[in-house]
Amino acid sequence: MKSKRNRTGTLVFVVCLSVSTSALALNVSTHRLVNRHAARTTAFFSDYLREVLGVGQGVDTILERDGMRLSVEAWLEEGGIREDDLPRSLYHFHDPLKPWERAGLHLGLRRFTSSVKWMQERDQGGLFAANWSWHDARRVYYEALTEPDSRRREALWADLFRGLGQIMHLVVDASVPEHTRNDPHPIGGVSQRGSYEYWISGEHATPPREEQFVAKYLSAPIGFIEEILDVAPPAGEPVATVPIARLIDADRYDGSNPHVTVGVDPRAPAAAGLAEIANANFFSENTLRGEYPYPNEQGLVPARSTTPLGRVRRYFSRPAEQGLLPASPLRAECAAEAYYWRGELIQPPPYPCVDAAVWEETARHMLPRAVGYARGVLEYFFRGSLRVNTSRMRLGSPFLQIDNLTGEEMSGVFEVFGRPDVLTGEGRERTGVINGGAAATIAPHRSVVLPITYLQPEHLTPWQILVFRGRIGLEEDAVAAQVFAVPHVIILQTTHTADLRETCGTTFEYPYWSREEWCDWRPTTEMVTLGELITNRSANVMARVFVTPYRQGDEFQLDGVSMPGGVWQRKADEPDPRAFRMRPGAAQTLTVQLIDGTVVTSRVYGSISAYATASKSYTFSRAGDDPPWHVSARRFTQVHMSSHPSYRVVSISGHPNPTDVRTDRYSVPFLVDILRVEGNLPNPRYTQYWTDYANVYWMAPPGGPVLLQEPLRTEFAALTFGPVPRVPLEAVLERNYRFGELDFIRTFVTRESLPSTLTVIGRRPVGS
Amino acid sequence: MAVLTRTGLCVLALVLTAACRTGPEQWGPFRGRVVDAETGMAIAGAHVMVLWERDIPSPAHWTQTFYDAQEGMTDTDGYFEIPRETRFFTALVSRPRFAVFAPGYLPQAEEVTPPDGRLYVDPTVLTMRPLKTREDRCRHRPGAPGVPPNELTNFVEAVQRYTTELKCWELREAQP
Repeated sequence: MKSKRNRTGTLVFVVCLSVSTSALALNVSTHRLVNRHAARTTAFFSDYLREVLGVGQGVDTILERDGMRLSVEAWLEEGGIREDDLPRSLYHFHDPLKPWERAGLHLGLRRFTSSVKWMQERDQGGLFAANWSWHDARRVYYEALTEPDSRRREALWADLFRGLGQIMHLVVDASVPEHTRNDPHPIGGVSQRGSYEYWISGEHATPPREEQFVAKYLSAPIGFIEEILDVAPPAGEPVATVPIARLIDADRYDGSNPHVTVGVDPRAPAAAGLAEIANANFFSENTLRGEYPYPNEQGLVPARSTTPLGRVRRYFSRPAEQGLLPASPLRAECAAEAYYWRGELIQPPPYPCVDAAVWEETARHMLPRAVGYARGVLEYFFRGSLRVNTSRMRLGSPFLQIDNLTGEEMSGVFEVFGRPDVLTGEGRERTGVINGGAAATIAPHRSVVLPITYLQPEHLTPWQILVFRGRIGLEEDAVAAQVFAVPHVIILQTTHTADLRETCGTTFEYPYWSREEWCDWRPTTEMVTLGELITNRSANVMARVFVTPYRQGDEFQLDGVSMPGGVWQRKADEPDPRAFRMRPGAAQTLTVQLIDGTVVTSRVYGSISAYATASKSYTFSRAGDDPPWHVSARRFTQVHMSSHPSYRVVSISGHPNPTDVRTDRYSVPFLVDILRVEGNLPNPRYTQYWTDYANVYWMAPPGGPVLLQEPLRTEFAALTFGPVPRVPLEAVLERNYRFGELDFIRTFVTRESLPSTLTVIGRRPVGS
Repeated sequence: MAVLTRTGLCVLALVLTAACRTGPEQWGPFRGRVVDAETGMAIAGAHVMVLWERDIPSPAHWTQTFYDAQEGMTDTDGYFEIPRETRFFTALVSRPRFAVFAPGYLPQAEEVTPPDGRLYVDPTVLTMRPLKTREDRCRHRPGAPGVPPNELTNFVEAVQRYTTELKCWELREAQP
């Protein structure tokens, strides 16, 4: 009894001593560092955040949730910490040599779920825990991509990265031999030198040591051969159905083939799960005696060496070329090390068969793999890779071409959301329905062209995000996304003004006596075209604007500023030009090159000319043929113009298109009044005849028509006529939009009423 | 059964012996000096933090949770002092962990006088190596200290401001 009390007292003393000197119980801080460097050592992750998801500052983007403002990287670290919240840590074990149903921590009567299943458990909650499974991360990812409220979306992004950090924690724990060999280590915390995990956290306890620790263990990750992620889950597995479980257990090592856990060299990736590598290659303190087939004593080389505490101890090493990772030492001789050292009592380690030398060797192999496999979580989660080719028209309908850049089939629903205010806190608004909302399948590295119905969202923006939800390869309910821009410019001519040269003359005709005065107006080179470049103004989309051909003496102005050589080239963040002016402004092509490489061209088009006459005439016919005898005064004008096919003529000279009015006061075919506007492209025209005076003799006199000749001549000579008509030379045209094009513009560019009217004006010389 | 009894005793002992850790190496005051490793000059305005965590016993393995943190800043001569504070219920509280952040520097070495003295209790000099290129600064940019909201606010804000201004996202990080 006394002896028992003594033992208890000693134990209390030792524990008191050990706690008072145990400094570095920082296991969670190791998870934080591993997650941090898993995110940092892959350019993929930060690039993906910026280029694919539009998270502008990559891993350094600050996200706020419930008052916590952390970077993406820090949220991953937070997940690495929080996954150890009780009782979650009880689910961080996986024995790769057991069926997954029985692979978790086994504590006497209670067997806990294995980490591979815990990772994908849809209801982790229970009484004490929240749900941070892979499926929750997928759900949160989708919500983060589509949530309209920016603050809530920010919180969802934070949750996503915390959740991924928690999943990374599970993978990282599989690098710890104890976690793969059902070896709970509940009293490791009572001594800083008491367990692998506490020894590791002690290695990065102060600022300089942390830097040395990172350089030694975390800066050069060792990954895995990616084919393990193509391995389907075990037959009948109901929970861990996503191949991410293969990062922990790829079912390659069965207890008889440890060589599968080693790559071509000790630092090469292997086609095995991390738990398989840890299990096959390293002992844990309580599994040294044949509990597992590997490692075993066979081939171990004993050697005496100095311990980290300065004593000589017997170790066992495993040389290379044994089909396992070389380790020197692999384990220590089992012996207590209670002694006074430098005048201080060093407590007996609770695990006397290992010490810092063994843990250092384990860490040298397993920590780089912990980083590499944790990185694999991010790479697998964000493996969906899409490319969106800007909306295009096909057979008059809008389509979206989507490229699947991954090596896995994608089958699911695609959605498009606008991202207005991308620079100041994005919104989210559904832009359109793709494929009628039905699922579509894209084979690996193939494309599909899907119809899109635009919904004309409230906020217009060229910045969009494509969201996919469905199956990627073996994973159901996967999510992928791709931001894309629909930079678009509409080149709209608003006016075309041409100075006209006037030519007039007089013509006499025989035998039909007539006198005609005429004028002809044709365009000179003095033509000016004004117009607008319409874009979505939330962002600059133009890279270059130029005119071809550009000849010496031509003028090209953008926003009132002359562009030498007819070219504007973006230099920095100056705003897109909005108004253009061109002279001569006809038969030239205006080209706008967008920042995404798209080229929009428009032929600057406009031509107007006119011809007009005023005449008087008389006819007489010896044969008495039709037409009857008459004297008349008439006027005629015709306006010709040419028009771009994308415009339709609204009116010419103030008369709407079409107009066809015919008045026949004299029942003589050529003495009718005609007003006609014909809008047939490409040469619409306006025509008008006036019959100002007519005197028709329907019956020939008894002496024949010759008797009429003299009165007709007299009447003709006295008749005043004219003047040559000068109708307004002006045409109004309107832009024609193809089917679906206006929807596209209203969705991506502007819903304002477009200034689509083009006025073509011909200016006669002053005083004419 | 014996194992369970012993484990229970251990836990009880830990609670009862919480007061064991009362020395300055546990609660301070913590003092030190931060200098440039190349010039030996003092680094003024460096942020220093000390953080304690509490162990949470578990049948599988112990985990940790945040207990408390304090912060300080170096003066023009590079000296800092984080005063001692009285705390109660300190069972299972870890020994302090330190972090130092000076923009553009990387911690290199700590020197305690005498050599077997107590870190940041006995005279301690932390030398920091200047990071001379943007790539180097991005590669060694500080991480988050991992504390709850409203803790170490100056330290956290300084790190976030520095990281934001560095714009490391503009550089493609080296693929190892």
